[in-house]
Amino acid sequence: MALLRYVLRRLGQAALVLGIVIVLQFLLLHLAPGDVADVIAGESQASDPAFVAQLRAELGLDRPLPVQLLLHLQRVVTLDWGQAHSMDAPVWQLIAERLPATALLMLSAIGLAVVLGVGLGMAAALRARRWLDGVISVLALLFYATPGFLVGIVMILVFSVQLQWLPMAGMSSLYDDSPAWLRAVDTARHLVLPTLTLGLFYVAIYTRLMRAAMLEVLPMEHVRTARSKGLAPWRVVWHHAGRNALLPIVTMAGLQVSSLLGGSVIVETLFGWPGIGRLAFEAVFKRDVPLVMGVLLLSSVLVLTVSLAVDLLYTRLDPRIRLR
Amino acid sequence: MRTTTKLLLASLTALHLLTGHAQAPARGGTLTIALPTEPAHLNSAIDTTQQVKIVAGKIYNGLVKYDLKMNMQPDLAESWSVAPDGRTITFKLRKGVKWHDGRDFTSADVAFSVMKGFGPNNGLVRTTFANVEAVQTPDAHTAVLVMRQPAAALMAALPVATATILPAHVYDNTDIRRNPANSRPVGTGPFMFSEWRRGDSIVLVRNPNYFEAGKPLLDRIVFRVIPDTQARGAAVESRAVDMVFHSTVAASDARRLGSLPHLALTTDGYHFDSTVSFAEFNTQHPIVGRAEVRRALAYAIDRKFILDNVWMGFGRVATSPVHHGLRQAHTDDVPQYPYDLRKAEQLLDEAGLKRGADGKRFKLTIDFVPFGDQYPKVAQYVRQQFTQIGIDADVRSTDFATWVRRIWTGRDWAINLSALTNASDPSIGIQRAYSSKNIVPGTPFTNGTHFRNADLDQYFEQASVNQDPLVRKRHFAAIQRILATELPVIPLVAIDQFTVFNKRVRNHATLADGVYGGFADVWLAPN
Repeated sequence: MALLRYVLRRLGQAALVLGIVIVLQFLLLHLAPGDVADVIAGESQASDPAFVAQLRAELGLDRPLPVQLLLHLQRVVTLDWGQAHSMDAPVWQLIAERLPATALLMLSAIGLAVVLGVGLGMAAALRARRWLDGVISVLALLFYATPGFLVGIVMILVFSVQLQWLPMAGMSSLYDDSPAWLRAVDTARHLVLPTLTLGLFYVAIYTRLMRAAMLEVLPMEHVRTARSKGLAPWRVVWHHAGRNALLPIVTMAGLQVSSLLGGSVIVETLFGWPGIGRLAFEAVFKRDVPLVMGVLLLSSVLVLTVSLAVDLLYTRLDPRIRLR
Repeated sequence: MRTTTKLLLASLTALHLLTGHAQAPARGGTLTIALPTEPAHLNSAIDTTQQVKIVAGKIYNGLVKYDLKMNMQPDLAESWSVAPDGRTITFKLRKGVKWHDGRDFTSADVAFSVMKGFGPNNGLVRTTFANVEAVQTPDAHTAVLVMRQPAAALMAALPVATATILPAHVYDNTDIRRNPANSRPVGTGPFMFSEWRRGDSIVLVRNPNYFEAGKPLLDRIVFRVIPDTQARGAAVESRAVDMVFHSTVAASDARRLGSLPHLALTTDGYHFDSTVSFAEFNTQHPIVGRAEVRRALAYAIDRKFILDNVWMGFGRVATSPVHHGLRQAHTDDVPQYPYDLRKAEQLLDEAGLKRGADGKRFKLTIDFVPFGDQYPKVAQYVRQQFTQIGIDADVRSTDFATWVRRIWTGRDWAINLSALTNASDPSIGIQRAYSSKNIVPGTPFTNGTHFRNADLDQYFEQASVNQDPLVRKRHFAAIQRILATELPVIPLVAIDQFTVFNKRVRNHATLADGVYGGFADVWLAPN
């Protein structure tokens, strides 16, 4: 019951935050001079005022800003996100087409980061101040300090251009009626380099976090008790130390959903990955307000949902934490 | 000199490959082409962006096409004749042509396309077709364009890239901008639309019923969206794609790529592109509004430096806003402004703009079009040059929509660095930017300098309706002399676009349409 009340209250707060975010986003997008009619007419080098006026009327840009805002809010509430101005498709369709690619990329990057980061962090903590710890720390520092676009370019040059092991562009190379398993393998091969590029930075963060958390937990009394009970070492490390040390990792992973969305812009651009980050970037550049608003709405919902999920997850990981 | 020789050699190699000597054309295979950005849709009748034209040009046809010597060749029209007064043009259309959905192509499609398709909706050529009063269709295979007055540039605007013939049965009585066929096009061209994986790729397949027997030769064309410049270079190098068009790998990397054993470099296939980059002036500005100041500034810019260091030698130093590739119009016989800082300073002194106690003469802002990485570099160079002659210049950087508003609506600018395509004729590409009749605040790519010259207007008017090529050439020469004297714009570089391609791709630049053409003759040599 307490859980339900908590969830309902958080959802109410989230709706309020979302409403404020939508209005702010709309106003921010309209602060800068110029609109999508300028972009469309400019790109097609149209030098005819009737053409631009016609375009502006068609897109509803000739109405006063408050009217446009109200219409926008109405559309959000009725889940009609309108037509993208710069692309020939409804906003929801463009987002729905791109979302799976970004979700796949984000999940595999986070998966890589958590698995590798937790593993390396534990290994470093258990071998603290020995050579393995040193090697892992240097690697983590390297992953942390190298910007994503550089990692990506180096990956492309090494694995695609020189060794020709892995594809570097897009999500698939099959255009015929290949069987499903072949398509899956093909997509997996395309996923490797973008995942590494996006994920290595987070591997570094999780490694450092996990190492620090483990070093804090390992000397604690409950760990010593577990050891003295004669439990198997892996059980002590995993159940008694690791579970406690995972809390900061979960917090971090939750926070990083939004930054991963941001990071995916670079990775998706570099690898021609057909995801939502690039869609948002192109939409901003083209002043495609409905599309930008659609993507921002989605990412706001995503961030709010994930933060709620993280809070709920806390109670499972650490029963001492209570929801209020 | 060394780079020129290298480029020449590369072009010769490319030419050899393009003409596909010594090997019989092979059928089959998939050609993969990199696109820098994804097209919004695939209807080139209502849009002139490169990405749309490159894809749509393979799906649709125009009435005619042009060979590399700019001779007209049949496309959907088998033959054509212009009446002596220039007011009617009769096209005899090919028989037996089918749309990709199986319907017959007829003169009704031509009438629809001219009157309701590209005629009113293509931003670049709508003024060219504005004089067309009606299209008569005496039978299913004859279309007659009837005009209020002759339109001299009209014939040059007929290839598929600017005058795409759309299916009337799909588009008539619909909202042309919202028609679903814009994303699932039905054409008459050598390739049929197959699949669009948004953000990833567009796939076209061979049209088995194409009207040229035995063509096209390829099974499939895949357009792959690769937004990053470095990644596009790596993609063509690693054979992930076969071609990178329209100078969309870094110019600094293009020659290295072109010299790799499996790749080549060519500047062919851009006859209708003819882009000239320039520095233009707000002629209402209190300082650069004066022609003598503009002339002084012209002496301060070393255009050869810009050509070599920004465009990496891909192009020619421009002396006129009319591209040298448009031989029917271009002239070099105009006042010249060779690089000479001392002369620039002397002219500024004579204009009464002497250096003050702090060594400065006046302040200026420099704006630039936010496309590509060249214009910010040119802006920094120009700023540096101006500093040397005592001008306190400031470079402003914005996004596209803001830039458009600033130049054509807000008008709070002094110097703007940008470029303009001449298209196939100055009456299409140049007149819009300098005729005083085209001063239209709020509309991009109109006369943004607000330059007014009655003689110039008159020459433009006459050139746009006169049918005699020699008379037109004289008018265009007079236009270029006025522009080079009054200097509302300092032409910088006439840009040569380039393609980096895998040597297995043959015959891809046999027409003036080049990259925008149908690729019916393109084939892949076995590796």
